[in-house]
Formats: sequence, structure tokens, C-alpha cells
Amino acid sequence: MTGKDDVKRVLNAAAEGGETSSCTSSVRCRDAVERIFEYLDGELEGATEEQVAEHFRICTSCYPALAFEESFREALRRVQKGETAPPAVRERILSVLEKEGFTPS
Amino acid sequence: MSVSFQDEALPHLDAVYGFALRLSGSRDQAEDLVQETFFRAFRSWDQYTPGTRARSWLFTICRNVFLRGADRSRRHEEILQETALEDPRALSRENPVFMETRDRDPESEFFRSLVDDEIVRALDELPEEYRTAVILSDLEGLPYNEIAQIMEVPVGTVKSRLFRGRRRLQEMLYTYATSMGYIAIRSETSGAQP
Repeated sequence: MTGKDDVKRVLNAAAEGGETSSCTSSVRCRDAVERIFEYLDGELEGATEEQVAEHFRICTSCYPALAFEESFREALRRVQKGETAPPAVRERILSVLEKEGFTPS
Repeated sequence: MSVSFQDEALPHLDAVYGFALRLSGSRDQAEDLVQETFFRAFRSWDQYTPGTRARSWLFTICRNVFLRGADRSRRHEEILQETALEDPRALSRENPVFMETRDRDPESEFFRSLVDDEIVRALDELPEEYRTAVILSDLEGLPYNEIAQIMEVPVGTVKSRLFRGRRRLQEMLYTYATSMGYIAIRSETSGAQP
């Protein structure tokens, strides 16, 4: 990016109320942060996904916001790990189903 | 019929149990929910289209069984009211908990310090519409379109429920983490002293 482009970008960002960090991504900080959940949830596609991914890789202002959401999600996923139906429940369900005509092979 | 039910539905028994457990917040209720879900699924197995996502189909049945038995009128009213009052720009605002903690806890360590029971309790506190969306996305990893089918709402509604549910959870966990001392309380004078 040339110095002229850089000045233009910073002025545009300031005028639009966006970030004026030193990042050189083609996606504005505000746009990237607005799509943070869609990005983390794997809901972005093609060029948009690539641009947002690139933004979070190179923008030191926005990366911490992504890391925050990732850390939050890790904590949530932790509570679900290893949850399995108790054997007695499985047996009871099979017993109910067999009365309904289910025959396990 | 039995063979395909065994191959397509029964492998999801643990997943349905996990979903029911987080949805109801009670192991006893989860056990009843799973049993009722598989009972209904077996009885209506002829309505299931082979090759489609059996897990989502089972989650749909499970949620319907749960909602039928739950007194959700109060929470439903609450969420309707909240949606009506919602500022549409709220969806694009920066995350208040992140802004509050970024200087004091830049690695977001406080999430790692939380005990599982506290996270479960916070999940239980969410209105059902938010809780289900968060469970299906963050815990079960389902895409928006499947969550939309299970919850019988448009994809845009799933997005806003996820957004609000996650923000509210983060606020609850932040409050708890602060009270436990996992994050230092902000000093009003920090930075002002020489």
C-alpha cells in the first residue's frame, strides 16, 4: 500500500467512525468485528471468508477480539465434553423401543 | 425399519442426552427427555427422510418435548419484549465485556479460570430461545440453517439470538469472574497516578 493510499484509508476510516489502526487489510476493522461470529461459526464463504480471515491475521487491533471470542467458546465446549447417556438410560430406552417392535441386530 | 433406526438414530443417543441435559439443566429431566425423544422418533420413523440429518431431527423432537412440558410463558414474554425494544444498531456494537477486560486480562484468561458448574449455571439462566441457539451452535457445532430448522425461525433470527445469548452469557461470566477475583477490579485511578 502506498503512503497516499494509507492516508486516504485512515481519513476514510476516521470519517466513517472506523478504526484508524495501522493495519493494512482490505476489510475495515468494524466490518471484520461485525462478522466475528459468522467467521468463527464457519458461516462465511469464498472471498468474504478469506478477507475476514486475513484481517484477523494481520490486524493487531482486531485479533484480541477474535481471541476473546475463541476463549469464550472453548470454555463453553469444555462443559459438554465427555457427557454420555448413563448405561441404565440406554438400556431403558432399548427396552421401551423393543416393546414398540424394535429389534436390535 | 429397525435396522435403519438402529444405524441412523441410535448412534445419536449421547448427543441427544447432552443436548437435553443442557436444555433442561437437570439429569433426571434429561433422562426422561431422551427416552421420550427416542420413543417418539421410533413411532414416527416413517416420517424421517433417509440420508437427512438424523441428529437435527432428534434435536427438534427433543426440544418440542421439552417446550411442551416447560412453563415458558414468562420467558417467552420477556424475549418478545426485549426484541421489541432492541436497538437495531446493537448488533454491530463492540463487545462491552471485551472492552472492559482487554487491558486487565488481554489473554482472556478469566474464561479458563471458570469452573464448569458456573458456566452451566449461566447457561441455565438464559431464556430458552437464547440457550437453545447457543447450545446448538457452540456446544453441538451445528450450522445456522440447521439451527433455524430445529427452532423453526429464519436464519437471521438465529444470528440475533446467538449474538444476544453469547453477549448475555459473557456478561454473567464476567460478573462472576470479577466476584471471584479472577479479574482484578478496575481501579478508577489507574493511569492517573504518577
